[in-house]
Amino acid sequence: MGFNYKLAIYRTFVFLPPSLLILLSLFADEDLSSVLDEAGNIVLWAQPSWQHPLGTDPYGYDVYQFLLLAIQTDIKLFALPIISFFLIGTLLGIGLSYMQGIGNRMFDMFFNLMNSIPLVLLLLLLLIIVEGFFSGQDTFSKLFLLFTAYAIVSSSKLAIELRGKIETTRKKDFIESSKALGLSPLKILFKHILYYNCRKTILATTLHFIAQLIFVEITLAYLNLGASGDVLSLGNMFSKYFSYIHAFTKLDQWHVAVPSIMTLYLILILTLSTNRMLRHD
Amino acid sequence: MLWFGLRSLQVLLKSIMVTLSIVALLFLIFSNFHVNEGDEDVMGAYIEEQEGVFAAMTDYLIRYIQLQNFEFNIQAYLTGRGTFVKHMFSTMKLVSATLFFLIISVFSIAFIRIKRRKEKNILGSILASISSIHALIFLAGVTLLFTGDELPFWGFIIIIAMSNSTFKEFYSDINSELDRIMNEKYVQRAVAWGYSRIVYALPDMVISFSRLLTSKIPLLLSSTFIIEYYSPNDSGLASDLILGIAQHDYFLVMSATGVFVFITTFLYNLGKLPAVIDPR
Repeated sequence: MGFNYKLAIYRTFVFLPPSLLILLSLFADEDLSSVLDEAGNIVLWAQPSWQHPLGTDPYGYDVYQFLLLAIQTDIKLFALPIISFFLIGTLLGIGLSYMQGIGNRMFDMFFNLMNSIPLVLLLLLLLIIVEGFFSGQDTFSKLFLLFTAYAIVSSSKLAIELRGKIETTRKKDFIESSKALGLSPLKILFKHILYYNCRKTILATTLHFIAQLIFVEITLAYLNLGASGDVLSLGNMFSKYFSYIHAFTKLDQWHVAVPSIMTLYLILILTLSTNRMLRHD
Repeated sequence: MLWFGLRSLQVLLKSIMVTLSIVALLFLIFSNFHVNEGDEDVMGAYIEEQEGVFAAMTDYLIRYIQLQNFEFNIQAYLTGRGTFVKHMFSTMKLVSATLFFLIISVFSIAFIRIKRRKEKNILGSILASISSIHALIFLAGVTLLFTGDELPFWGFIIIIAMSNSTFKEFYSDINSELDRIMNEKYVQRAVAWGYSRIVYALPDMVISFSRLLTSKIPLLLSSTFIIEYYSPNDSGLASDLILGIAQHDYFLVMSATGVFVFITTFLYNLGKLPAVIDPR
């Protein structure tokens, strides 16, 4: 067995840059202010240097610092929704796979209802509810609540996938053998069914959900209904730079494409990882 | 014929009933928050006044049933806005043009694939991969091509059709459905006897694809939000909805949502109509 170069390159490409960015974003300076030169003027469209690795943008902000802060904010915004999606989806999936009759049918009806509403429309309706019931909260808290509510609603997708997978696995011969050997039902469920047979499905669906969250955050910020002002997210960065997109045609003002490239890269690695997991499942 | 008429009527009635019930529900939820105009937080104040959300909901429900708080005139509202119906047609124009573009492009590529089975369908695979790009990034890319000019209508169609995995979904679904139909025994037999494959598969294709394509309308409607927000000249239902949320005009939100739901339900049921004709 030789060294698998292709796999090593793939893993380096997929895991190293995001891990580095996440690590760096944890230590990023939270005060984002315009970069000034010696005369006190704002430095616009500066090219990369040691102090400003990605240069400065049309507002005079350090693009690198802005990017790290955007990643930091997105991590704060998405952490709980991702955990909620994972936990609720898994628990619901397990519960439904053991549930028979009316409960299952009710859940199917609810799932069909949720799926028939266009994604943006569903988000906007959730946004109205959050706006209405938490009008006194700041933008970050409202967005946090919105994404958490969205994660809870979306967890039905994971539950449906997991239900099918658990039901198929339970019919296999090795489960019967495990029962005959005297293994406890909990051990069979959590170790042999969930961990050995369903973990890739759970991870792939969760990764797909993360990609969807990034999409949603950017879309809401662009529609002026999401992150704005001091909530420095990837969506806010994108919508701030979008009005300067024509500047990209001048090669020295490439900075405006940074959030777009970052989003493309993140979505690409998430999609690649999802596909790879599903292929090996 | 009578049977067909009755089934069509049943489908239409079903769609109208579903729409009306959803509109009534939304009206019940949102209409209260349109009672007082102005910038103050009507909803928050109302909830505070009633000492809690549930007390506010109960109070509102009672007042709603008694019709004491029923203060709006739909005609005055529509004439005041003046553009709501126009916006509805604008959105439908965008959606139907995109649907037409997708039908032509996806079917052309799918039929090329059927004709040249031995060759790999590179064009389809490339387009499906490109369509994974987010609509906003696609929009940014297309905007760069038209520096200084306004984006043409066909540019918007391409953005909606080719982004947010829309093309990919259409392409994969239509291909798998086409494969299923072409591999049906009666189609294979017709080919063996020297008849046209397409002519024999046509009824099944019409039934299957009309249902499939109309079920994808919500996907297209989702993408219109980005386009209509980007181009104020092409305002539609989506921009009305965004405006309603931004200005806390919940009646506008309710109306736009109701029309969205109506369009989706009505077209979905319309897509089922060819199946009514077919005796199978």
